This record gives sequence, C-alpha cells and structure tokens, in this order.
Amino acid sequence: MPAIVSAFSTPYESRSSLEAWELLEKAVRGVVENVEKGIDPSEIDLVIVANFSDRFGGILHSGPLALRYLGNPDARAFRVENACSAGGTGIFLAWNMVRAGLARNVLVVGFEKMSKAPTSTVANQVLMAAGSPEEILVGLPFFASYALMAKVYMDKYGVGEEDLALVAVKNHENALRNPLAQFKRRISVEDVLRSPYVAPPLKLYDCSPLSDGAASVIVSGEPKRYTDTPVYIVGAGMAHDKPGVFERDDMAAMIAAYKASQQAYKSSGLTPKDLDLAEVHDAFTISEIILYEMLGFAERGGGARLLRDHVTWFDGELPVNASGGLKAKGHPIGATGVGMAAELFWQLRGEAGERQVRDAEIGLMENHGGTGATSVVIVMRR
Amino acid sequence: MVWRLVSYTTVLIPPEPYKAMYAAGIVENDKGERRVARIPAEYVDVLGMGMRGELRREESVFGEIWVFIPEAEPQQPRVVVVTGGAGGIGSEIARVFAEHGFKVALADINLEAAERVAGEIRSRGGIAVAVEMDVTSPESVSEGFSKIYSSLGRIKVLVNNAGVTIDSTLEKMTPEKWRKVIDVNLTGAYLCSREALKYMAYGGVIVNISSLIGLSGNIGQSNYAAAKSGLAGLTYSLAKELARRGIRVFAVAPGLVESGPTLKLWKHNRSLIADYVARLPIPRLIKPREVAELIYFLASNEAINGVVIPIDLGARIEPPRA
Repeated sequence: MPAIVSAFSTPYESRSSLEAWELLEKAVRGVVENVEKGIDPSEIDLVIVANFSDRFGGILHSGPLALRYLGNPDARAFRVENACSAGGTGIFLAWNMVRAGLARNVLVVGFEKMSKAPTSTVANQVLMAAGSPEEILVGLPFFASYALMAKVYMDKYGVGEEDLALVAVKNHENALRNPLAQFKRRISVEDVLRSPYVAPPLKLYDCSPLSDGAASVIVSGEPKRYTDTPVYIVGAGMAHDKPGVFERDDMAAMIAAYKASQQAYKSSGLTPKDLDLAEVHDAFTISEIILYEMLGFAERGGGARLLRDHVTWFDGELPVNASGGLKAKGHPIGATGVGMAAELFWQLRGEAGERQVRDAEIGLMENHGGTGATSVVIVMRR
Repeated sequence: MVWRLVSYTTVLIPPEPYKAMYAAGIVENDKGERRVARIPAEYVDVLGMGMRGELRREESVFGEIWVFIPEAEPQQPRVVVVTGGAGGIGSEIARVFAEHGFKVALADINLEAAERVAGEIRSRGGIAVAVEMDVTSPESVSEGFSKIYSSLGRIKVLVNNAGVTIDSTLEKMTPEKWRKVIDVNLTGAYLCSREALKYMAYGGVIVNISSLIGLSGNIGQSNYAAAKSGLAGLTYSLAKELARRGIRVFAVAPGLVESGPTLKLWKHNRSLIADYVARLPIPRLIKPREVAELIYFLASNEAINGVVIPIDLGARIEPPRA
C-alpha cells in the first residue's frame, strides 16, 4: 500500500525573501534529506510539481527544474495545475501511479510565490481565472463567489456572521502552536466582525491570505525501506462539480467534496467516526462549515454547531485544521494540498510538537480548487 | 422574462481590470434557469433576496456579460456639501445645486453667514442646512460631517471650496502666514475628503477649487499658489485611489472671480485689477455663477475624472503679472 515516507515544508509567509525556484529547491532537497533511512535520488522515478500560476512565481516548466534540484535527470517530471487543489491532485496522482506499478517512489512538491503579484487586486485577478468564464467576465474574484455561496447557505440554515467568525478564531488560535504558520496572532470574534467587508457577508478576516511557501512529500510503494513509521494512504477520492457557483443544483453545498470523501471512505473502509483529525480547505470561513457537512462530520445545516460546541477545536473530539488551516497557516496555492499531506504525516507519527493532536492515528485531508469544482480527499493512517 | 435574485454580494475590492466597485448576483427565472450577472453599483443598498428584475446583455471591452436591473429605485442621494459655503463662490455653488434639486449643506467657519445662505435657499423651497466647520481641525471636520449625515443622509458631492489668502512676498512670508494658507486651502481639502468618504455613496464626486494662481503662480502669493497647486496633486491622486469605490475627483481652477477677496482688492487697489483684466482676452471678471455652473456640469458628467479644468476667460494663454 502506498505510503508517505518523508515530508518537508518551508514556513508559509506573506513575503518570502526566496524566489519561487528557491522555494522549489528547498522543498525538493528538504524532503530527500528528511528520509530517515536515506534515499538515493535515482530511487525517485517521478516528480510531480504542483503550482497554480506562473503569474505568481514567474516560472513555467518547473518539472525538469525540480529534477535538477533532485539530482536525478533520468526521472520523469511534470507540473499539475488544478487551481487550489493542485497539491491534492499531485498526491492523488502519486498514489495512483504507485498503486498501478508505474512508479516506485514519487516526490510531490508544491510551491507558490503569490507576493510576486504587484498588488492584491492583481493577485485576485490571477486567482479569478479559476472560476467559470461567466464568473470571470462578470468580475467575481474568489471571495465574491464564496460570498454568493455564503449568502445562500446562511439564508437557508439561519447561520450568522458570528458563526463564520468562529472558524477564523479557532484557526488563528491553532496557528499559534504552528511554527510554520503565517499568522501568529490570536483574534476574537469581535475582531473578525469588525474587520472590513470585502464582499458581504464575507469580511477580511473570513479570508485566507496571499502566501509564499513550498511543501513536499515522498509517496513510496516500498515504504518500510525508507522509514519504520510510514503513514499509509488508505483511501483517496477525487471528484468535480460544475465550475460556476450559479450552475450548481445546491449552491449551499460542495458536492465534489461530498463525492470525493465518499470515494475515500469507501476505498479505505473507514467512516467519519474513525477520524482523529482533519485538515480541510478553509480558504474562506464558510468553506470549512460547509465541508463539515460534505465530509460527514455534521448533518446538512449543522456545520456551525460543531464550532459552537467546540467539537472541531484543538481540544475537541475531532480537531479540524490543528495546523491553523489555510486561514491562519497560510495558502500558497500550489503548496497547500501537499502541505496538508505533510501535516498529516507529522501528526500521525506524533511529531507535530505543540500542535500535536492526542492519539492521532487516522486523519483526513480535503483540498479543493476554485469554489469547489474539484475536490481531492485523502485518508491516511499510521 | 422575469428574473429573481437568489444570491448577491458587493465586490468591494474589485480585481483587475474592473477597478470600480460593483454588485453581482445570481438570478433565476421561472424555468429554474440561472445566470450570474453584474448589478450596477447604485443598487447596492436596495438589494434583497428574491428581488425581481430584468436581465440585459451588455458589451464592454473586457467581454459580454449579463447585467441585472432590479425592479427598485436605485439609491441616488442628492446631497452636496460645500465648504466655505457662506462665501461668494461657495454660496453660489450651493444655490446652483439647490436649483437642481440637491439638498445642500453649507459648512463654514462663520456659522451665522452660512445660516443666512441656508435660510435664503430654504425660502426658495430648497433644503439646506448650515454647519459650523473649521476645515483645519480634524475634530471640527469630523463633527460637522457627522451632523450633515444625520440631517441629510449620504453625500453625493463634496466641494472643497474653503480658502483664504494672506499675500506676502517671500521676505515677509512668516511661517504663520504660510501655514495658515496651506492649512485652510490644502489640508482642509484633505481632511474634508477623508471624512466625507465615510458618508459618501457610490457614484460620489469630490470637487476641489484650485486656482489659476496654482497653475501659473503669482508674485506675493507663493503660499496660496503652493496650496492651490497642491490641490491639483491631491486631485490626481484621489482620482486614481477612489475610482474603485466609484468616486470621481476633479478640480476647477478659476481666474479672478467677482467675489470676496477680489472685491476687497478692488477697494484697495482698483488699478491692479484693472491692469490684470485689461490683459485678458476677454477683459472682465468671472461671475461666481459661471464657476458654480461649471462645477455642476462637471459633477453631472460621469466621464470627468482626475482633471483640473481652468475657467479663466483665456488667462492661461495670456498669463497675468501681479
């Protein structure tokens, strides 16, 4: 069974002093160095680079560059782009390539240098390209499309802005324990509610930041050869929804995440009840609440209750985004999904330091693209 | 075909290349078909779930989009604030806007004089309030705008008209004279713009009253020229900065106007004015109403932004001497 045998992540920052290729280099070299029993570059036969846009990093064709940093010109390499789910897609691919016997060891590396965009309005223009053509032309950046979803959801289930704020408060608190996190500042519900609107009902503090960072993992078909404590990918799923929010039957849902998680639960033989922790795609606070329902943690309309009842807080029954999530750990697009996998690797091996979730044995990650048109769910077990 | 709004938001930080704030929504018809559409910003404050309206196809250089026009009156406040509203040009600006159906706020350091103008406008059936305001004091400005908002509502147009002259050649230009003129003419415009922004509706307009002197300079008026020229820079910068909030900023630069300071000079040194006027292609003084009507006209034209428009009888092609 394919397993992760090594992980690495740079800190996530708002303005890294490193260029995009330097972030990539760090993550490639770092994950190789972190292999406990050592790995020769020649043993890695495939490198998958996850990256959203060259308008952020200024580079394309990053596959061969990654091979240069790896030191194995005979491996194969390519870049995957699947909006914000590029990283998750890379892991999903690696898992399948190994299972199919087409690769022995796959290095998956994700990076993004978003601070390369001259202003946040330009960054939002680059990001907006992941919407449907109709949304792009109307001028809906992500925060506005999520605002449209939030409005429908909040109207339908009677959820308020203060419920959304709880996601931000929880994830900021979690990030305080994570040395890799971009934000290390406790915030209150009042802070969130007082922050300026970017697209009502969403406010600045409902949004994940623009980030620079890189993360990497090695997925291996012979895990015990490289470590005594691999983290197995026991199930995975990938599914899609229509690209535009307006095209979806239920605009208050993220059906792709539901379908992907059903595939992952089915292939792993596990259920939501078996999970000890989850890392989910909280690009906007509303997203985490809807995901609770899609991933089977709560019934429809019951997502916010898990927050109010502290179920998903660090000390709760099912800690979600103990890392700080995209909201506070940061969201360097291409790196995000790979970083989630790295986080689960550390958590399930008991190496997460101050943010270690108690007795973590089974974990889930959900990484999605756009407003949820692509979702990748991966279940891991130590 | 009737379409209903099933979700909406306002894009307060528009991405490139759209720049100016707008609303957007998802609309649905009776057949259950949905479209994502732009909604003109003047409807932002009146939108509601389920609101009915019509859908239009509109073309722009960026592409063709659906635009939803709700069956509701767009919110268009017609409120103008004129600083220095008691003065010759200020009061005339207030009168012209009032004649066009605007509610008028006259902000002036001389409340009594502002009250007189407000009373006169009210006696002709207009709506006008007078507010005491020292444009150089952040507290006074903040208090004044808060009062204006509570009595008249959101602001559509701010005219930064308050100004003083304290003429002096460089040797005799004391820091006090320099500062006073910069404070009232330039800092006052910044303070009032900043405060008005809090109460300004989408589609708002900021008008700065610059001066021919700010464009050409004048002997004995270095403080005044610097301030009025500074207003041009303020205009250009705010025009860029506030465009995304749908606010336009422009300035007018009048030559010698038949108002307070000119009439004062007239009394003291009539030949100086006669000499200046004689050199103009159209040899006369400008009437306050001509300035006021230009401002109203420019404020009404949505393509006017980031410019300083001279109104000077041709003085710029025949520059004045002191």
